Amino acid sequence: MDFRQFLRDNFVILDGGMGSLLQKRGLKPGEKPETFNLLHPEIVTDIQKAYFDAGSNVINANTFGANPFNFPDDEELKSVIEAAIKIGREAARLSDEASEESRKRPKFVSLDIGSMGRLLKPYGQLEFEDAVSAFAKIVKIGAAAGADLVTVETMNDCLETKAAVLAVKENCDLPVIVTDAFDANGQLMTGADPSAMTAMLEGMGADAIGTNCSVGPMQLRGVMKEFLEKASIPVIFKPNAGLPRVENGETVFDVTADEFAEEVVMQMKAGVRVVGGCCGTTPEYIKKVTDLAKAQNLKPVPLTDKNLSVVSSYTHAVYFDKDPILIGERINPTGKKRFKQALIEHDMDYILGEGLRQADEKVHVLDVNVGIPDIDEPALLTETVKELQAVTDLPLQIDTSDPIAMESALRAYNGKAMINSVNGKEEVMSAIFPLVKKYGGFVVALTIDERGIPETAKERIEVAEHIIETAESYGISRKDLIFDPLCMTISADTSAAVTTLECVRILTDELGVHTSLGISNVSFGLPKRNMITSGMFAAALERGLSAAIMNPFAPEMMAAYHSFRALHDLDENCTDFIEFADSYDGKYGTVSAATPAAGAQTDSAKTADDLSPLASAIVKGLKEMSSKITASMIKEEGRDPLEIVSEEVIPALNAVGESFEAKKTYLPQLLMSAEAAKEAFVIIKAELEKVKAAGGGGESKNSGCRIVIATVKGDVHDIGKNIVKLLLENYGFDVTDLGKDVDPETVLGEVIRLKADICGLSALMTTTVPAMEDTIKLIHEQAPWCRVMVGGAVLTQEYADKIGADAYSKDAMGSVRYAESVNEAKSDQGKQ
Amino acid sequence: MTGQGIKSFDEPQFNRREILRYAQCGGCTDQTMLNMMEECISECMKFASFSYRVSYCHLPIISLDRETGEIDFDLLKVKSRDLAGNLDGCAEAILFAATIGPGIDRLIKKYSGRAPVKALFMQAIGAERAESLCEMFCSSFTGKLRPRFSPGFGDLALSIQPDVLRIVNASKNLSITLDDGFLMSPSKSVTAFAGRGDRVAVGPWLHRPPHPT
Repeated sequence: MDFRQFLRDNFVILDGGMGSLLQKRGLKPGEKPETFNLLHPEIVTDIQKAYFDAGSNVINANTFGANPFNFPDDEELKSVIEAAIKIGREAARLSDEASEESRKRPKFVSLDIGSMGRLLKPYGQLEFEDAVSAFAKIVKIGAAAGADLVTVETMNDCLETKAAVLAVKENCDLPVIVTDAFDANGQLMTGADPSAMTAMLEGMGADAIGTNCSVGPMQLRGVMKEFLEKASIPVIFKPNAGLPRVENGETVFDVTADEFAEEVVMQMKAGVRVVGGCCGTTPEYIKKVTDLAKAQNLKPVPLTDKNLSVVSSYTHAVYFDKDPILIGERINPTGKKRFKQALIEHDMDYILGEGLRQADEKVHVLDVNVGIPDIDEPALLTETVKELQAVTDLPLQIDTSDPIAMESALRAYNGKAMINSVNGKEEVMSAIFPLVKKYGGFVVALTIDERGIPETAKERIEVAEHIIETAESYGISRKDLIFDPLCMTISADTSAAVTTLECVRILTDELGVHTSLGISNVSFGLPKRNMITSGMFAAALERGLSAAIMNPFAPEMMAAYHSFRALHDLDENCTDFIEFADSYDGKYGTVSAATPAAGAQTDSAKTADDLSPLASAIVKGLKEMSSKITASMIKEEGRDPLEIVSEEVIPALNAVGESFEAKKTYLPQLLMSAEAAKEAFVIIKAELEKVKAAGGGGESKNSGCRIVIATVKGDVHDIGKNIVKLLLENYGFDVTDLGKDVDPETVLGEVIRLKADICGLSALMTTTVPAMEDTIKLIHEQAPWCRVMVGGAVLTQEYADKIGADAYSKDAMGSVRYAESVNEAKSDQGKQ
Repeated sequence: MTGQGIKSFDEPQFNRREILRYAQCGGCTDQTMLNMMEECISECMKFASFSYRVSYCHLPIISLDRETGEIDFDLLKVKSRDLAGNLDGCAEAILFAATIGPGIDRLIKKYSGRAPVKALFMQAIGAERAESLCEMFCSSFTGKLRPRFSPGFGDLALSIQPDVLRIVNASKNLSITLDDGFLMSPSKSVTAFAGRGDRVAVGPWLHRPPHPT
């Protein structure tokens, strides 16, 4: 019988624990259980036959850890997997022979795939594509050996789960069932909740999903409830017999077979379709479950489509329903000179900063568009998606018109992405819909086709209907589409907004689909654009708009959003609105340079009372205040930016620096001042650029001194290095940061390319100090003009001398002092 | 037989004094700093998805030589005079791997280039969480354990990390993995030996006893 067919109409009984039983039969801690397939096949057969005898329909072949990392020899890997499938078949045959009851029961042997035991980036070192390739190797062997299905199990990480499922889908047609190891707190180790996993795995076409391992069945009630509420496909429950503990040298578990069966059968009644056990469970546990289910004459609860429109990140899902969704539009070069420059210069910090600033404004999804001419868009879009997902847990909307870039980014995306966009053109639909089917996705569909943008609402709705029909022919449900009926500017056609709003109403009320708008287009060419844009936003929300791609920094837009939610009973106790209103004046108000810097009374603030407002803000570490006062000093008072640096910023930094050196100020306080100074510098730098462009000076005293800075090869700690960089930049030094884990050749290459005066090297661990020594040696040999200063937890002056460094800095201020001395010596030489 | 277990703990109270100490501002009373610490703790509680799990096994000490540092745990043979000194007189060692999960790494990365003060506090909170977890674990045994001793301390080489993680099944139970330099991911993970129990016959066995096999 076909497994998918069996799954559709029946409960599926899986097997129980394998590792704990093998340990009882001689497997030692640390020994690879899969080696028993070759060394002791009779033991594995015996255990698996016992599971079939107990009532299992599916046994997992003993291949959990059979992966290319544990078995680097291809032939050995193949032998282990082939033997495991063969053993599973033999166990089924023996069980069939043993009893009539067993013979009647359909039996399946599943290729079992566990975690590689290596964390994927950004947590670990394993590249996503390397994980896919490794899983693919297992799948190919298992499928060729005759597995009936594939089980991906005990996964702790959303992205690794995706890599495994993708490998299955790309290398065989077998059904795939997937279980992740949720902890009692309802999350995977890397943060995903059941809703997030459901969104991603349903999107990718898994046949059944759920949880296994980790803890006992009672601790997983919340997890199962969430799965059953959100999943439209069969749900799996395969818990441990509690947690293992050691008693008199033996591993024991705390949930008995009877307790286990009661809990599992309770979940079957609630709607769980596929059940079994994990660590600590034995054939007795499985028999108790089957007997109890039989005694209660349980019938499977029919599956229902939950009809949820959803996107997800690696932690959580975002649902599109009555509560409007905000999609931040700022990661997009259109009309943004600074952003374009960041893309050209590959300034990832700036790009990520744009994302994080929007996250601070509490948008729900971030749009990501990096398309500019003459750029490798597939590579940059994919890199941006990965980097953003390393620092924010918001779901992303991947925004590109290039299908190659779209596929590359979708593949790397950790979760179920929002896809921007498809439209009614056949060519576009045939390029995008297969990607949606393969990777999952929630797709923005523009009501435009080969004829262009239809003028009337009726014609745009016709395009929408055609898109729905075509999507369904690819097996994509309308719940995975969100329609953008296009917002055109009213400065060109005063009826444009009326048409768009009518479309939103019809799409919502008559077609029952979700809608999204790129709202800001409506005000193009008009003054005070946010007034019109926010008015349009409010009007569209009233007609049922589900989401808007918008600027979260525009107060009018956020006011429209919060007001709508408060007025439509979507904001319990108006809590969000009150929070927004409370922060409004502080956030969007202005201050003048004469405004005394407000803030908490701190030890350092007391010393700041006699300083100017800007210096005081810096000493107190008030970032926003520092930025606003600086802007005001330049714009309203006409102060020279360099004068602000020399008379305000540097004295303030020196005051804090000296206090730190005298141990009166703590490191975090020094850093807060540095961050506040950095905010002032952002304003000052922009002004200096203008002065420079106009042919003026615009150079600070230390700007001629170039410093290359890096954490050495093999070391991934960069907090200290970043602190040093921040302070050096504050003092006007020209710093190039090469990041962490940088090999000596790369450091040398940059030192030579930039003719750097100083190279700063950081190492936290004793094991990486040799790499520091190698780097110093290389620089001294090939770039003798460059002074090397070193720092880091394991270093001392003595150690620094021993490895040949020119200077040792015990802290960040020390590195500033050294850099100043090098620069002064350089200036003196220049004068002579 | 060497049994293997997992212990899972409820979230321990945050030890703010320790966090300040790890953030290099021990004893600081500056309200701005304290507010920043609280802000970071709140963010951690919301986004770090802390888990407090330990995977462990009991290793009988078959033989131990303080002079050469050779220790035979049956499943593992180690050479470290410092560890031998630490375990001197114990009947067994609890070998364990503990982690608070990788969520804190993401928060550290989020702020390390953008807001170093927050990165520093996140780092400090992670260190305090991992330390508290180890404390809870070691206190969960009856009888006092010796101070724990980790690979990388003294002359105990980091290169034994692969064996340690394999024996306590840290990959499956905790998803701890190693990089080429034997550093663990999640970064806020700890592996350690903790001596336990008194050796019945203390004395001659410390000096190159005949191997039981």
